[in-house]
Formats: sequence, structure tokens, C-alpha cells
Amino acid sequence: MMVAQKMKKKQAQFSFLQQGFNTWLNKRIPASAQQQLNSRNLFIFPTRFGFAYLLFVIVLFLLGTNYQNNLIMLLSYFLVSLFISVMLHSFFNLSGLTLIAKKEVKGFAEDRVFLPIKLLSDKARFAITFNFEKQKVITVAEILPSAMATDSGVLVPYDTVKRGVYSTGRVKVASEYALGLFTCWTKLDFDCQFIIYPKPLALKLTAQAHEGQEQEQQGHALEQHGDDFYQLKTYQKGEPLTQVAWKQLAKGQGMLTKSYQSTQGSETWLKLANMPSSDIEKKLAYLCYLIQQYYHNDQRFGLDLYGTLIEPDHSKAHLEQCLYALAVFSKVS
Amino acid sequence: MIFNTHNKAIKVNEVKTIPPSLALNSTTHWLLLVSQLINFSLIMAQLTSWMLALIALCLLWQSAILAGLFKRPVSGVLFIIAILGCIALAISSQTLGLLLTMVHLLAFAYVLKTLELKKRGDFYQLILIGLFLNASAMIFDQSLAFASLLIFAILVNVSVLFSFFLLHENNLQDYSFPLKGAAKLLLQSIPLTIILFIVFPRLAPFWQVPLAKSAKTGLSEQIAPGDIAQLIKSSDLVFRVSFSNNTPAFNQLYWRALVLENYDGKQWSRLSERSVEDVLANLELNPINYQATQGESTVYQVIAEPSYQHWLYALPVAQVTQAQIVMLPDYTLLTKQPITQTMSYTVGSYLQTPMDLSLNEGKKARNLALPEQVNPKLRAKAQTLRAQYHNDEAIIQQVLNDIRQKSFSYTLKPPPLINNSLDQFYFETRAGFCVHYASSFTFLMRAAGIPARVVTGYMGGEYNRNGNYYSIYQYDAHAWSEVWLAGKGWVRVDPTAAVSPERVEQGFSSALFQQQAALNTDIFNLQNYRHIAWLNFFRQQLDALDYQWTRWVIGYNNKRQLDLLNRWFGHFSLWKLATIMALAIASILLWLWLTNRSQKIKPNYPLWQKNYLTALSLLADKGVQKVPQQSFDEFAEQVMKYLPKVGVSFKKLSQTYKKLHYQALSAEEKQPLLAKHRQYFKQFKRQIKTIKK
Repeated sequence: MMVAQKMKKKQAQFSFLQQGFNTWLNKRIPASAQQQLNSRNLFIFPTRFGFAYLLFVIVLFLLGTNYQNNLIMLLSYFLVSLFISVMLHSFFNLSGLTLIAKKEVKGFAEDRVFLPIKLLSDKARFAITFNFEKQKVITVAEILPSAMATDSGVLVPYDTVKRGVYSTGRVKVASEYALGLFTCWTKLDFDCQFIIYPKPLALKLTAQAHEGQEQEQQGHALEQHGDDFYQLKTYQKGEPLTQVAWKQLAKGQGMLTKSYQSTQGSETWLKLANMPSSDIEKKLAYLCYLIQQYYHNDQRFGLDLYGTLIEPDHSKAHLEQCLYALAVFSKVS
Repeated sequence: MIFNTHNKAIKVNEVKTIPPSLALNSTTHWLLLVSQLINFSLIMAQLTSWMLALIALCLLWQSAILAGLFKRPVSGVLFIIAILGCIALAISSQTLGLLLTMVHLLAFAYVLKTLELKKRGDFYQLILIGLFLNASAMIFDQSLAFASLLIFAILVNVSVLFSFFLLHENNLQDYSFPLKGAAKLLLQSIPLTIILFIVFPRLAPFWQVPLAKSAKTGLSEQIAPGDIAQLIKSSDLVFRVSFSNNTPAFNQLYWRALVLENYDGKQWSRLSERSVEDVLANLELNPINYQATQGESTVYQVIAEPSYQHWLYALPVAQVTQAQIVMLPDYTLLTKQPITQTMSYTVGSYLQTPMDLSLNEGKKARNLALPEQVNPKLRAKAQTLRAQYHNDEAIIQQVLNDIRQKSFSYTLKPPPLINNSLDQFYFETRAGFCVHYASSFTFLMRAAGIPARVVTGYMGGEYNRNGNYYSIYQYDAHAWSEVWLAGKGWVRVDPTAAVSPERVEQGFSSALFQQQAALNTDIFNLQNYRHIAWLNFFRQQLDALDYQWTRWVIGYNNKRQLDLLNRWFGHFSLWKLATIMALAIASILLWLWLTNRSQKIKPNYPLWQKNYLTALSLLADKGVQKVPQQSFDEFAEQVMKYLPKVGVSFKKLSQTYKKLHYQALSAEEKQPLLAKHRQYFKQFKRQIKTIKK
């Protein structure tokens, strides 16, 4: 009981410290899409190897002193000097680097998304690692002397968990360059919005699924891929090959696609309420999958999220608008 | 990831998981192998042949792995090899001694560790072990040549570590890149190293360490005719001397090392076979009273090479002040620790001061003692002489005349003597070198009732004009006699001078050198080519360099440090030292800072470009900043929008700038444009001053 309380207290203390540090960090390194590294936002500290190295130098000094051997002492002095030079090299490897991040990153939940960061540098830089806080994946970049003039950049990976629109915290930019004795690092807030859609869950286009797609039609319901199509159009690059009119192609009439009556005459509404699950997250996931399917098949569709309506369309902007709506959807509305 | 529209200019970098497993790129791996080869070659001389074979095998194995011929061994195999190696080491540790066993262990660990590099920590450990191996090699050799090799070795070691942080995905095949980078780091670290070396306080040893054990070199404590021949074959350096004043004549350079007073009929030996500890204990009980010194002293610094013995070299009567050196009753010098590494000491010698004006009965008897039944002919000759002359000095002269006039010869290859018989030498072969003459002479003196003893040491030395010092080599080894004369004390008599005067006047003659070179089998020794003038000059230059290194770097000690600091900064005190060090480190940091900053490309902009940049920074102060992606016109529009007061003038400035920047203009076309640009800039500056933030 007591122990648990103590633990809790300790944790509270720790998180308090953490919070204090974060506030201080926010003040010291404010959020911005463009950041330049300098002595204001860079930190430098010896690595474990750095400390081991220092211990080694002390052992060498003792060895030299005990043997009264000037050469060994000279070596130990040299290694100390090297330590100091490396410290400066370590700092200058990052100092002066300009990073420009994208304003927003889009992706799906439970997927790896990447934040593109442009690196502007006037000199070669080596072994710079990038990773989001609390993320297990890092990416390594270097700017070679030959590539200085051209833009180079990195994609910082982020493994998403949940949908939503949020910022992901700071990106740790670090380097142990020169000899691994020091790590020079900073944590940058690029003020980037992560727009994370639900993870799409495949939904078979069975009768059950069709319940979800209420088709506002005057006449009879049509099979989606029914044989009687409405008209033939010339093939546009990017259209699904399943809709190519192969018979006409074989007859030598050129590449034509079949436009189905359903996509033309009727308006499909994808309704959240009709998704076959009781879990709202799962419903959103199915819907996310369907939206993409419809977009791919170049079918017009509208979205109905418990009354929030998005009018039918089939443009890319429409798709993104729908997905965005899924990302930010909350039950209260 | 259909929605992740990446900028085309951005290249995708590799994604790794934390913690990254150790994957050395091939550049690093090959460099590592090279660095290991170099490190082992430096310590090679200290390793036993079976260890060398083991190391060679492991290195071959490793290169086969690198070349893709083999797989990495499983750790079980390595474990067995490690255990077997340790058992072998434990068995041979008796003969190796503690220090060498440690070195073997280190080398063994170093080569095995390479076969098991799993984590990054393993790699770091390997680098540190490599550096430690380099450091331990310095225990055994500190010459300039060796030190230069070490600098190279350290450069390669550092570049291995350096290359680890380079070229992760860009397969730059160029090995010179990490080497250059490491060389730059090394060079930048040198100034601070030198300052630390000069000013950092030197401490006394903290505890006793195992000393390097090696075969003793140089003079031994017993000598029989024919013994020094072994030394004369060798061209190794024994010690170097630089005189600060009163440089004596060449024929006075009799460097005493050992006094041999016991004669057993075959060989001469030291007073008794007592150990150095006994000698030292005895000294504490009976401190010696030296004669009052006479005349001015000759001061010189001796830098002795390791001999693994206790004896030092000096001219009589030598006075030293160093704590670890003691003066013995026979006027020789002795160190408390054997000379295992280069040792420097300063001596003041009073060449005019007599040794032992009075001789007690015990000493007298010791220096007259001769075993019965040996060399009866010499004994008879001595008795005849004693009957002829009453004066001791007359007898000495008579013997020397004898040697001079009868057909004695000086040679490095004398005919062998049966049972070390001096009779045979003096009356039959009559050919020999210093030991033959010194032994016979001393024998004759004792038989004639004059106290006499054999002294061994070195005679003469090679003068180096470039460094103003004498080098004494093993072939300068010499033996002579000292006889005790009432009122004069011990007087040096060198019978070799009688048979070969040039030996003591100028050193070896060219004929003797040819003899010596024929005996020396080391073809790489430049000493053997001293008849080739330019090569000899080159050798002397190199030697002078090595001498300065030995003197200033190897021989730098507490006393020298104090002298130097006193000379530079006045009276020594701890806070002064601290200040000097702090200042030094600060200035070096500043220097490094500045050199690193200047790496940035700072183009020399023309005035019109500078003006535009100034305008940009002025605008930035007012809160309007240009982002790199913005074009000139876009930015000008932005300025117009937010700072309308300067909008017009900035737009004009921007336009002229654009023209100057991008249009190929002739000089005549440029002139009016430049004038306009200047005018707009002035206007802009005037206007922007009026804007309040």
C-alpha cells in the first residue's frame, strides 16, 4: 500500500518534472515549420562511450605516471584534446542547419506515415538521426559535400495509432558524428498537423454491405456491375481496367469504358449508421474502406455521418473532404 | 500511401529501429582490419611466436569473413579458443613475467573481440583496446622512429571510428575520406596536447608497476679476456651526452661504469656478488665521505638507453643530485631502479679531484690479491721489475714501454686463449683488445705490489655536429686499469693507449670500423655504411633529430617542467598554473570555434548584392521575412502589403536587383542600373527608419 503510494508520488513528481521541462522547452524552442539550429536550441552531452573514453584516458594517465613514461602521458593528453575537438565538431555538425517541415501530413491509423523535412545546409553534415518522441523508428540522413547545393531531405517516420487531427510532439534531431563521444541533439516542434484517417477495414460487397449503401433511385435497384451499361466513353488514363469495354476493343473500335447507369443516374449515399458493426470505430473503418473503393471506381457518392452530410461528388478534393470528416468525427455531434 | 505526396527533391532515407544492430560498412571494416595489422606490428617485438601465429590466424580468418568466404564463428567456438589461449598464457606466464603476460592478454582479447562484433558497444570496446595496445607498446620503445609509427597507427585507429559515422547509405568507396577527416581532428587536437604536456603537473608514480623485463644489455659484472668482443659487434646506442661547459678532450672521455676488483684467475668481477638492495642498505649504514672537490666542474646531461641494469655512466669524480641515483665508494653511479626506459640525468664531474687519497688496509689488500698458481710468467716478470725499480711510476712506465715496443697488436679478432691464460697472451699471441691489455696490466701491477683494479665502461663517443652531443655506442665499450699511488689516489692507466694510441685519441680507425662492420650482421644498421659520406651525413641528421626528441620529450620531467615554467612565467605557484591552463584551453577552444565557423562558404558579394541582403535583414527586423521558396516578386508584393511605406522603393530595389542578378549585361548597361539601385537603396533605408515596430 505504502509502496504503491510512494510509487505514485514519485511518478507524479516525475511527470511534474517532465511537464516543467516541456514548458521550458516550448519557451526555448517555440513551434515553427522552419527551424534553424544554433546554440540556442542545440544541446550537447557526452555519450556513454564518451564517459567510458574519459575513464580510459584517466587509466592511460595513471599508466603513464606510474611508468613515468612521457609518451603514454602524451597520448593521454592527446586523447583529452581530441575529446574537446570532437565536442566542437559534434556541435558544428548540426549548428547552422535549416529544417523546413511540411505543414500537414495525411495518413491512416495503424500505419507508418512520414513527415517530410527539407534540409538546407551550406556544408556537409553527417549521421543525423531523426525520430519522433516515443517512436521506435529512426531515420538517418547525411548531406554530402557534393549534394550541398541541391535540396536534400528526410522522411521522419511515425507509426500512427488512432485517427484524428493532432500534432505529434517534437522531432528529436540528433547526431553522434565525429567519433560517437558526444551526442548533439535538439527537440523541434514543427507545428505540423497530422491528419490521420481511420484504418480502412475491407468490407465485402455482399448483400449485407449493400444495406449500407442506400441508393436513391426512382426505379429498381441495379447490380453494381450489371451488364446493361448506359454509354461508352473514350478511355481516360487512370480509369480502372475492369471497366474497359473489351468487346469493343476486340472489334477495333478503340479503347472505351463502360459508364454504368448506377454511377450516372443514381446518387449513392454512404451512411455511417448502416455500417455492420456496433463499434463506432469499426463503422468508421468500414466506411473509410468504402469511400476509397468508390473513389477508385470513379463512382459518385455522398457521405452521411449521423446527419452530417457531404453532397455526392467524385473528385479528389471530395475524397479528402470525406476522409477528413471521418478523421475528426466524434460521436457527440 | 496514396496521400503521402512527397516532394520529389526529397530522397527517402533508410529507416532503422532503435537500438540499431551493429552493421559495419565495408569501408569501416577494412579500415579496422588495417588498423589491427598496424597495432599488432607495433607490439610484435614483445609477443611470443605462438601468440603471433594465433593472431595471424585470427586476422586471416577475419579477412576471409570480410571477403565473404567464411561465416562468422558461433560464440561457442570463440569461447573455446579464448579458454585455450588463456591456459596457454597461464602456463607461459612464469617465463614471460607479469607485464608481458598482460600485454599478451590484451593482444589476445583484441584479436578475438573482432570476431564477435554484435553491438555498437563491442565496436567501441575494440577501438579502446586497440589504443591501449598502442600505449603499452610505448613502454618498450620510445624512439622518435617508433613514435612516428605510433602517430600513424593512432591516425588509422581514429579514422576507423570516424568512418563509422560516415557514409551510411552513400557508398563512397574512397578510403581517404575518413583518413582525411581523422587527420584534421588530430591536427586540431595537437596544440592543446602540447600545452597540456608542458604545463600539466607531473605526478610521482602512485604505485609500483611491473617493469619491462628484458635481457640485460651492455657491460656485465664479470669480465674475462674476450668478453667485450660480443659488445664490440653491436652498433646499438648506449647513451648520449651533451656538455654544457668545459667539454673535455676526446682522450679524456673515459666513461666509468663498473669497477672490478676481484680476480679469480680467469675473470675479473665486482667486489662481491651482492645484490643492488644489499649495496643500497650497506650505503645507508656507511655513508661515504668524498674528498673535497677541486677545480671547476664539467656539467653534462646523460640520456641513457634502457640496459635493464643499474649501472650509470660518468666521468670521475661525478656528483649527482637526483634522488634515485646513488654514488658508490668506488666512484661509480647506480640507480635504484633498473634502466627499463630512456633515462636522463645531469652530472657535474670534477676531473681534477683525486679518488681515495688514503686507502685503508682492507681495500689495499683486496686490490693486491691474486690467486696462487696462475700466470707464473707474468708474476715472475713483475718480481723482476719490482727488483729493478723502487718507484711505482717507473714500473708502470716500464710495462707500458714494453707493450709499446714489443710486437703487440690491437685487434678485434684475437686468437683464442687457453683457460684465459694471461701468460699466453702476454708472451705468445700478443694480439688482443682492451680487456686483454687491462687484465694483464692490472695483474702485473698487483704482482709488483701496486694496488690496481680493472675498470669497465665506454671510451670516447661519436660527436654529432648538428646536435652538439656525443653518442656512445656499444662498440665504444672499453676496459682499462686504475692503480693507486700514494699522494695521487687512484690513477687511470690505459694500456690500450700504448698499443693503439689512435683508439684513445680519435676513436675507431677506419680499419677497425671495417673489422667491426664485418662482425656486425645487421645489414639495416646505417652504422655499417659510415664510409659512404652522404649516408653518414643522413644518419647523423636523423640521429640529431632523435636526440632532440629524447631530450625534450622523453626526458621532460618534473624538474625541467619547473625550470621551464619559472623561466616563462616567473615564480611558480599553483594558481598561476591553473590560470595558464584555463587560458590555454579557452584560447584553443576559441581557435577551434573560429576555424570551424570559417568552413562555411562566405562568398564575397558585390555591393549591390550586399545592399539587397541588408534590406532583407532590415525588413526581417520589422517582422517581414523572406522564405527561401518565395520569388523576389512575391516577396515584394508581401512587403507592399504589410509595410506599404517602403513598398514602392523596395519593389524598385528588388527589380533592379533581379536584373543585375539574372540578366547578362554589358558594362555600359550595368552602370545606370547600378546607380539606380544605389539610389533606391538609399531611399529605402531612409523610409524604413521612419517605421515604428
